Amino acid sequence: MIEAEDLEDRISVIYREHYLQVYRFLGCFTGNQSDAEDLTQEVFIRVLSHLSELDRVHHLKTWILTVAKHVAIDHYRKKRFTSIFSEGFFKQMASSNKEPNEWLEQNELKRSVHDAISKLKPNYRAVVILRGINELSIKETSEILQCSESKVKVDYHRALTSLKKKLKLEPMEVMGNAN
Amino acid sequence: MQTDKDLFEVIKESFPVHPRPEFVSSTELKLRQSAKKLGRKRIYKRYSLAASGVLAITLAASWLFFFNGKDAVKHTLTSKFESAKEGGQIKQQGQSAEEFTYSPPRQEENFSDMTKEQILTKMINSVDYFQTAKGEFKIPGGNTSGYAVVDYEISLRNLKGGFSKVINEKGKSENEQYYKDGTIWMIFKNQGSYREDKYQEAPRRGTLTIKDAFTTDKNGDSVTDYRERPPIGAPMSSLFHYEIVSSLMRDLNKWEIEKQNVMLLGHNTMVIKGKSNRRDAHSFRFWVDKDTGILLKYETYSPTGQVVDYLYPTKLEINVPINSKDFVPNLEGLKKEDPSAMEKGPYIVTGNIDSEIPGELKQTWEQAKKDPNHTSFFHWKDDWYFFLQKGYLLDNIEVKDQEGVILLAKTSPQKSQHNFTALAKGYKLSSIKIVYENN
Repeated sequence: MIEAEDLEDRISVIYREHYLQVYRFLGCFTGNQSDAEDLTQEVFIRVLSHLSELDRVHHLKTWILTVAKHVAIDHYRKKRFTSIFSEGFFKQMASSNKEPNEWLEQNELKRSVHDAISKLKPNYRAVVILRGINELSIKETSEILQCSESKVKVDYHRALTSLKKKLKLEPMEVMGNAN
Repeated sequence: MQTDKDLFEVIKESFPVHPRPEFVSSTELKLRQSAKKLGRKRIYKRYSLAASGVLAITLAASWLFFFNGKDAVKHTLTSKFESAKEGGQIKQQGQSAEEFTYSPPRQEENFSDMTKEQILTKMINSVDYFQTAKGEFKIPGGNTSGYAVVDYEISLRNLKGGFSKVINEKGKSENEQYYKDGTIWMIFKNQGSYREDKYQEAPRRGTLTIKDAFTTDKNGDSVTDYRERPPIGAPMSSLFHYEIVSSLMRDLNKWEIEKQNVMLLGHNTMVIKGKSNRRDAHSFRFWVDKDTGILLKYETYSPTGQVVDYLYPTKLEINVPINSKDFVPNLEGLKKEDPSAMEKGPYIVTGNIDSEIPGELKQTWEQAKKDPNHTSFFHWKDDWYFFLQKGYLLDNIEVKDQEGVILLAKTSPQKSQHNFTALAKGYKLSSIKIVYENN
């Protein structure tokens, strides 16, 4: 059994090594700094409670991100029916020095991107973030999402297509066609 | 935005990907403190278990051999099953070994005056103040302009378990959640599927005081501790809404007791009103059940006083009999979600698809590849095979009725001399139209 001091040191090491990846994933998933912080804490609290089982885990990084994914999806499902804290980029990100209008006027593209990501289905959102932001491989992503590598490729392609469509990046029609 | 890489750069700029240094250090500190407590608890448990074991064996042996214990055991094993715990009664129903009802003792309403501290303490410990509940409430319906109704039952002490159902305004159940004996079932009615997960019940803690629940770390950042709560789903926003309470009520100076006693659905509630600096909850009003601490009803308001969010109850029954069979869903006709299975339905595959070309099309395909300035496509069963002219790739397929519009996007300049291919699988189209991105 891991003694108290070992537990403290171990969780510290694990946290320092992995908090950034977890925070990035949750930050992009929730779009909300406050939620990302709360959920990051929750992920590592869960990691701590399973610390004794970690010797049986082959890939710690993917295991921790799997926990993060579960936490994110649980949070998403809870938030769908608890709309008091609706997702709002500028609500959390705005500093007290700026008025809401200043944020709204600044960088319309960022706002559109944020809206587009937040409208993706949770599974698509997760795969886009893990591949594009966390820059994980297909294999790692499939381990985290507990699906096949083919499914990761398909979902990633669909998610990107959906994102681009929402951002109005699809091609415009022209006269004639190749036929 | 030329490439996917550009898109992800914008995403990184738009989202919080760099945590605050103060958050990083306060979380590490919190984790170390939790690890310390956990370590001490385990050591204590180890010794307690051993000591309890020795004591239990000694007592049992004494009882069996010196105090007619053998006769008592024999009588219990042969009598009908009945148990009374915490003042209630558990009974077996019918012939089924799985079906039991539990009737907890009646809960009386609290009409005495309460202070701010008393009501807040009760709200953050609501899990201690009732044993069963059956309720129903209305909340805004997600992204639509309508509403959803949440219907639930829960048992916290005996025959532990519960369910919740989210019903849209057309009266159709959309999602359901059940939990019992370490298993959670989430049912997605719209998709005809369900997901099954294991859960571990958190140990029951003692009363959380306001002082312990709401603290700040050395940097002055708020830290909140929550009590345990069962995986009941949507009803958490009424029964155990620790988050809203901690966010809006931790500062006792920012809210007041508007009315001590107001009857609502047969429950005596306290009405609390307060202000917040959140843009989406400028002010709020809570109706709190005084004997349980349950957030029975709430409204949040915009700066102009309009209701922007709400929870309106239509039923709340506390400590009424429950039937444990209701906490296990009927999964008949539902597909279990298998994350490893491929999604059915049409999809697109890009990259080199030469190995996917059916034998019947191989010759035609090879011929098409000899003309790089021309887009060719072939149809085989429900699949479409595309050889795209130089400098284009397949961006999306839009389907209307059975016509497919194939949207081709221009590649980056570096790849403008390449030919790309794509396979659209499972698209049942009678005709297609190719559309190119504007030059």
